[in-house]
Amino acid sequence: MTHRRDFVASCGALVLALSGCQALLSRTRLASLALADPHPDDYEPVLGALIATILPFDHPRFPPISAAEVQERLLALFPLGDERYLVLQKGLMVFDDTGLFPVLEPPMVAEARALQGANDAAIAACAAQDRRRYVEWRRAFPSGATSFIALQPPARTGYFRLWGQSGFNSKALFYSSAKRLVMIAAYSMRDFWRAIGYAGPLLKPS
Amino acid sequence: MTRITCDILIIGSGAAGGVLAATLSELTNKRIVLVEKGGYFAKDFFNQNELDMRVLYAEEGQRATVDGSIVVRGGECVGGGTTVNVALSFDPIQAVWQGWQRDFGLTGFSFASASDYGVSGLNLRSATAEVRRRVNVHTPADAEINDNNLILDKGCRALGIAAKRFELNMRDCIGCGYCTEGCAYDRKQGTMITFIADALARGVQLIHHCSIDQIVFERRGGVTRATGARGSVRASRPGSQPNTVPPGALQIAAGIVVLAAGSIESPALLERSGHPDPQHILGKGLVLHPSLPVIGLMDREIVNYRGISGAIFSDHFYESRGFYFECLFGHPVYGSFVFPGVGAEHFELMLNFSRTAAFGVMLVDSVDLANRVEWDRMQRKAVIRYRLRESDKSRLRFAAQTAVEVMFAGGAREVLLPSEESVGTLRAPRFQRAEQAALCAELQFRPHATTITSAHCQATVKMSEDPRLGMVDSRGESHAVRKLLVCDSSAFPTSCGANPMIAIMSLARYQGRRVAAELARYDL
Repeated sequence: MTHRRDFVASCGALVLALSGCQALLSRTRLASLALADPHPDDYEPVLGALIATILPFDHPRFPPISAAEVQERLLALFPLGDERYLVLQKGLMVFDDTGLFPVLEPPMVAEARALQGANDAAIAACAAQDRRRYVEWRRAFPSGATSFIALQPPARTGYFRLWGQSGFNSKALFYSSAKRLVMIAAYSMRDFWRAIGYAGPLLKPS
Repeated sequence: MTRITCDILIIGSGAAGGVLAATLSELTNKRIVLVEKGGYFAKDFFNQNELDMRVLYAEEGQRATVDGSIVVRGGECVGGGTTVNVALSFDPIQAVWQGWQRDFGLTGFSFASASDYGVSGLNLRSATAEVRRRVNVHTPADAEINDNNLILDKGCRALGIAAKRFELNMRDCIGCGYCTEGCAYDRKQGTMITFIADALARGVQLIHHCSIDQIVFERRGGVTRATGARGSVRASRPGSQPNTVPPGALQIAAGIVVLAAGSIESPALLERSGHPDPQHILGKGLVLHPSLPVIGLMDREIVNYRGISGAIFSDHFYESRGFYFECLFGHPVYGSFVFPGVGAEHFELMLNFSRTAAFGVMLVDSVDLANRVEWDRMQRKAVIRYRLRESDKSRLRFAAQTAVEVMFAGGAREVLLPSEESVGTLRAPRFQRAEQAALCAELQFRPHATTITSAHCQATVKMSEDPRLGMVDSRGESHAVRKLLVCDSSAFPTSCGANPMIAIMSLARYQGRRVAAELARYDL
């Protein structure tokens, strides 16, 4: 008894949590990304690369499902083309531009003060830590690539982790929300249930 | 526009509203209307699917603190939290209520066989006894305890930590393990199939899918009174029971308004209704029982997601440190959120699903007025601002360390926390030996890096005889607005000290009996 429209509405609430990422969209190099509405041809490949980072499709015990199928399900559950998902579309584009990670500090200072109660010293420490980790990541995965999509898989994982490790709420929120979106799409599928040994509901689907 | 007139309007049909409706319809002949924001779903709707059943939850299960870091789950359907919880039943804790009498000047709420307010037999103990009987609170039998619960029991006992069996409001549970998706067998005795069923049989009108925009206040002769509420009824979701009014605008005139919408929605509704708040305390001092899952990987397959989810707990550290260990287990979507990491690391943890044990640390958090609920006019929703206090973090570190030790003592070969914070030389708190549990002292509980959950919001419209400390008095009556009562978890001045369902129901039974005996006080 799935009610698709209800479920889409429910996912909308989750994606709204990503509105925190609006703090990412307000300064200098970000201006063009902020002003232009991204095309699906731009943000969907970023989403695809994220899915392939969050789920290990090459694992020997991975269910017989492709990244494209997970993406199709995710987009069915979270119709990113809708205007209400504009923040997520833009968040994906900002995320894709790896060079922006260490320069995202200014737009997030106000948010860090308001949401986290951070003082100037704490904010400076967060920013310095982000820059240090970014440099370490660049050193570990030397590449001329400037976009997430263009990175090799291990570098992608390292880059995605940078966001999760950040002390700035917007970056960490992007990490946890992106992980959740992909996990919802994957682990609500019966093929995943079979892979992990979950028998599912006792009631038969109607 | 639908216009309705009643004597008593109850807003919210959860643990409090359902009991109020039943009690007032049992003891009076007044016309009662019970409104619920969510839908009215009976057992045939509950299909045991995690995603489909999100419609039973506030914001479809995604309600969170404003920074997005703590998901704050709450039932938003007829029966409220009692429809989607796991039936854990704790009687009101006498020491807590006595503390409220001392610190907030509360009167009544006797635990002895007293007659509070001169009402024959009215006391909190008798109210609790009546609630317990109606929802069949009992202790599960040995045969009903699954492997996951036995692991917590074994681990606690091995370390000399007292473990106990929960009391549960169930009747002949079949052990499907889907309490949080609504009981498809009507075995969990939530208010929907007990108190609300009683109320409906006595003629109470239930209006669901009903959002109340505003409680209507009328000022006359220098006195402000509540005279009803305005809102709207949405078209019912597919699968809901029929409604009693058509979709559209709704206006309800009422002799008294009893607000029982829970600790998030009650203060938000008062705020947007323009309820006076001269002390700036409305919505402030939220406690939400932050909870930290603890995960054990076993060498053998165990029964975890089938059976009674919560049967064993420990209150060993409640008095000294203010936390509980409570056995719980989730299904794959929830589990996938809780397991740390991404990629192969995460997937390999998921492959252990049938060998995974879990329980939760539930912290009784202290009051901080900066933790609060606000009505956001732009977003048109209640916003939850909450940060763990440093003193609470300190207790949570000790609780996490002890919990890890308990999980190892229960037989786990590896224990992990839902966290990606580095501790010691470990990239994340993923422990191979019990001695490593001491590294929990380094946890910062950084938002998003460590998963903290919540399901027990309380204390945002506090009761106190002192208007500087509370919005309502011991009767639940607003200090500023006549004929307006608040009766739900928001009225607790602080945490009630345990899973709150039975304490909320007891409060509602108590206040319902009192109102029924004091109708003249409300010109009813």
